[in-house]
Amino acid sequence: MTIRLALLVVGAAVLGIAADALGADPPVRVEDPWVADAPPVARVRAGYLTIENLSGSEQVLLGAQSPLFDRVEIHRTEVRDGIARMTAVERLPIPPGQKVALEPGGYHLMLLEPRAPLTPGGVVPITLEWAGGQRVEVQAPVRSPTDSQAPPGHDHSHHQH
Amino acid sequence: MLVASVALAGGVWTAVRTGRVQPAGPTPGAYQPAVLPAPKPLGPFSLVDQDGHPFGRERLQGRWSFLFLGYTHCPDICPMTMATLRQVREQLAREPRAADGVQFVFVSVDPQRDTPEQLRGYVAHYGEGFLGVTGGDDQLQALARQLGALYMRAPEAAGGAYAVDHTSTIFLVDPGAGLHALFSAPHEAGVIARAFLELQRKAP
Repeated sequence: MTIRLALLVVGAAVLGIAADALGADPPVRVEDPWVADAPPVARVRAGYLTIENLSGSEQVLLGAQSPLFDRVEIHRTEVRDGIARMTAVERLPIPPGQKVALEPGGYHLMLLEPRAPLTPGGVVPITLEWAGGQRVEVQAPVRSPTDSQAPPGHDHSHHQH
Repeated sequence: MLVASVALAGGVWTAVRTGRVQPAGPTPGAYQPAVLPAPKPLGPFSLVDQDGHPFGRERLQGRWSFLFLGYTHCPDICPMTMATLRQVREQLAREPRAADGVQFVFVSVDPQRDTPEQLRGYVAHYGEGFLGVTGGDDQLQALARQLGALYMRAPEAAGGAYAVDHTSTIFLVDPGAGLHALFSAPHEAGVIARAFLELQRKAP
């Protein structure tokens, strides 16, 4: 346990140094990025993805950009007492070694003011901006929100590993 | 601005809590709609649809209607729910006559931004059976209060964007214009379609 922890810390330190030295990507793995299909008249879209922090230190998502939208914000939907509330999130910390899912009904990237029509099958480039200045670019295909619908009550955010 | 309808909402929820609501649906133990013990007749309200035509109580009579409160600047819950309702319709359409006349009504609680023209483009995306309606707050309230629904405009953020908190329940209104059942989020098309087919069969 102690040795494993120590190795994790050393590993993270090495990764951290490498990232600093080379200006490389932050130690995160981004999986399954996608943008929800919505009517062409919609001025906002939601982007979803899963982020895994591969390091031993917290990684913080500060925002995102896309060439297809005027701006991108991090938002969170919470359904409480049957009411859906959406709030802006200034920073999204990913704890060391953990996964955080941005998914329907939870955290999402709010993409505002599309600059071009989006249709299912299209792809949205999104650049994730991290504390520390690193950037990670992902390609998010547009698909129907029901194509990836989780069963009711299913919650796979904040996995412990 | 808080637009609340606590009193009548309380009536519906009290019924749910005290167990006077009978569960429906073929899969015991799974997610089920709350079916009212007796349909709650809806009184008058006066909204407009996506073509600018009046939409009131009379447009609910003679057909089943699914109602959902939302707004077109809602990126997450609304496209999700609309896509789910489109799946419900597709599943109903596989049964003989089950989808005939059934309407899916997107009630925009953001009339400032959701003009009938905006709603026309929005609901057209979801195809046959979908309508978009809205109106002034007093008339939206006249409907929301009777459904036991709430909405509340959040303070304006930078760039003039604002969110509208809203009830995420899907409401089922029967051909007698009575509130018949409530489907709370998260929604699953298969469950809603199966439960609806059963309610449709049972209804007089």
